[in-house]
Amino acid sequence: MTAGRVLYAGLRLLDRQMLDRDGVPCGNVDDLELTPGADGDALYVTAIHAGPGALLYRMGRRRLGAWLQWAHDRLAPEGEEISTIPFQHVRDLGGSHVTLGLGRKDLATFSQERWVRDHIIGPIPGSQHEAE
Amino acid sequence: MRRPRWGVPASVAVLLLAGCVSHPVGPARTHGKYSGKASTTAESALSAVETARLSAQTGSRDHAFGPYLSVILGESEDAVTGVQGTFDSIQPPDEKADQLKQKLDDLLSTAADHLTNLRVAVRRGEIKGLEQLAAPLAGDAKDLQRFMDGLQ
Amino acid sequence: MKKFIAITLGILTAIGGFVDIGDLVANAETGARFKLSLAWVVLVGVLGIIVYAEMAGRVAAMSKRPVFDLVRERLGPGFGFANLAASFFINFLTLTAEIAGVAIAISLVSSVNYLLLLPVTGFLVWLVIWRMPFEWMERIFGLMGLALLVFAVTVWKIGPDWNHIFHQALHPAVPSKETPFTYAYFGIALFGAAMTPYEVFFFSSGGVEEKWTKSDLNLNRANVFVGFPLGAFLSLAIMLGATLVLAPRHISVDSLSQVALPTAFEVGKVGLAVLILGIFAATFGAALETAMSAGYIVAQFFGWTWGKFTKARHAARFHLVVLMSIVAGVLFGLSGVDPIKVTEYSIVLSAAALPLTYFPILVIANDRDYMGDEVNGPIVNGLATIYLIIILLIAVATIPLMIITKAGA
Repeated sequence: MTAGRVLYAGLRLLDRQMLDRDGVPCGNVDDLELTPGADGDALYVTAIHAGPGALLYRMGRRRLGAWLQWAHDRLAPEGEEISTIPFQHVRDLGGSHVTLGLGRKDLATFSQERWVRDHIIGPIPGSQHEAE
Repeated sequence: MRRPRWGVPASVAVLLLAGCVSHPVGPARTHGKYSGKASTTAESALSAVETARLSAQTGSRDHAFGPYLSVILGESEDAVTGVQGTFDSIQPPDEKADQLKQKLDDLLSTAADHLTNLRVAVRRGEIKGLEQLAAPLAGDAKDLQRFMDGLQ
Repeated sequence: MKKFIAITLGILTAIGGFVDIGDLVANAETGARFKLSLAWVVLVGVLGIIVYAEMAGRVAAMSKRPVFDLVRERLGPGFGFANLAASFFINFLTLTAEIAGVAIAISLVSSVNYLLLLPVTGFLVWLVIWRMPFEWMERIFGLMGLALLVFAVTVWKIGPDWNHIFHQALHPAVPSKETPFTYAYFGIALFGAAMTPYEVFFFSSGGVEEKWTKSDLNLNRANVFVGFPLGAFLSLAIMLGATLVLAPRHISVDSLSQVALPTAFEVGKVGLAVLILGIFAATFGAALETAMSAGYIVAQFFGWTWGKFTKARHAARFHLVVLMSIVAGVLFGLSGVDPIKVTEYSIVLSAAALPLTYFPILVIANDRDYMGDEVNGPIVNGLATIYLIIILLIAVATIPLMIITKAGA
């Protein structure tokens, strides 16, 4: 593992708004995955968790959170969206956002958006336009 | 065993929503409490009667149009019959309270009749003559005020 | 010249936009029951919202993020979620009341029962959010709201004894028919009507939607420093009209039609028509703002895309929340709840929940990471802290008072 930046994960990472590679909001950092380093002493942030159930899991509702994640995995037909984002996909931590090198469509946070878009909002006439 | 976190806020929310839906009226066990409810009932009725009087004056001055008067007079009438219904549903605790109820009921019924006349007149478009038609309401207002003073 | 027009337009819009059904009901009710003994609360309230709305606008301009977006980030998901739940619930009550207000305004000129008008009103509110550009929305309803100035015309027509008026207002005392508890309760209601949280959500999200930058800070300040005081002026005019016309006749306000009665009586048909137009505009504008606020706060907590400035398809969940909130508000209204009661509850609970909304603003407005060098100065911080203490005291006192006074009966 290469040496990483040192910062307050609780302040600068957790609950931050994530932007995808096009600068579009794609969810919040719900949770972080920590892995012990080679020396066994320090913990390193290795992934971001974001998606259905992740926040609940972190806030202590473990069973409900895990169930939501499981339900989402079962129901998501598109398959490849990830709710565990390996940290190497983080491109930038500047500003107050966490910018990813992935497109939002690759993320689990998008599947609900896609469903609502396809089944409810999209079919309403005028959804193609900006409401502005 | 952890207490449910949503229990308290949820029940507060339910109680508040329920409060919006109806005017919860409890029983009145003592004469004092009953007298208090009679007083607030009369007060509400007085407000409705005076609203109707002022509206009638406004109409006769040609200062308001039909739909507006129709709504406000209809609301006044509903207000009086409403508080009357609520008050009637409370059991009088003793004989003195019985007499009180009789008296107030009479006052409210009379006022409600006068208000009905006004509402009907507006619906018929007879707006200019409203103030005259509302003349009996002055007496109703006085009676209600006297009733409330008598309860002190 | 163009800048001047923009500023003037902004201010005019602000006046019309700062009175909603909560203000109409609270000020009329208070004037009828307490005459002018609570007038001072309006002034205290307007200073409070000036301080906090300026901060919220500054946060939007400097951090490019609306306040609620930052609540979870800065104060944690636990506080953020409690905040979201409470704010959403209260906002929902307000939305229901505003939609009902629009329907009632239409019923006053058409004599169609307002219940029948609720569905079409909800649809119109949704349609405007769905299709009308943001600036148009603000301008049209803001300018139409200026019709409420007829309240001031009403007072002027009555021509009261101003010495007496000022004396009454400057020597507040609990009226003999009331108790200190009902006095405090209505004071809280007035305060909640003046410092409505949804204004802040909407203001700061709107600022981000309109892409405010540091150079817009002065426009923000002009809006706030002129708009809100003029809103307070309207509030006091409403209170004064009720004091002079309704109170002497023992009329207590429990419907929107009574709010218009002083104007009808004193000014006549034209005044009444203008007033109803103003009520329509004020409540419709507020319905738009509360419906969008529902979408803003949910979407911002979860990090979804949001706003009118993107294709609706690309902010699907935001629009779904807006749509469902409006539908739920219409259904709640159709259940026959008294819209005035709902209004009363919404403003009192707004007052109680103010710390949830304002504490994060104060924290973030002092954070250099978000604000750059536009952090709060000492005067702003001093004022804001005093108000924070006031709203914390109110938060603690509200529910007990609600129980003691049976919600102001």
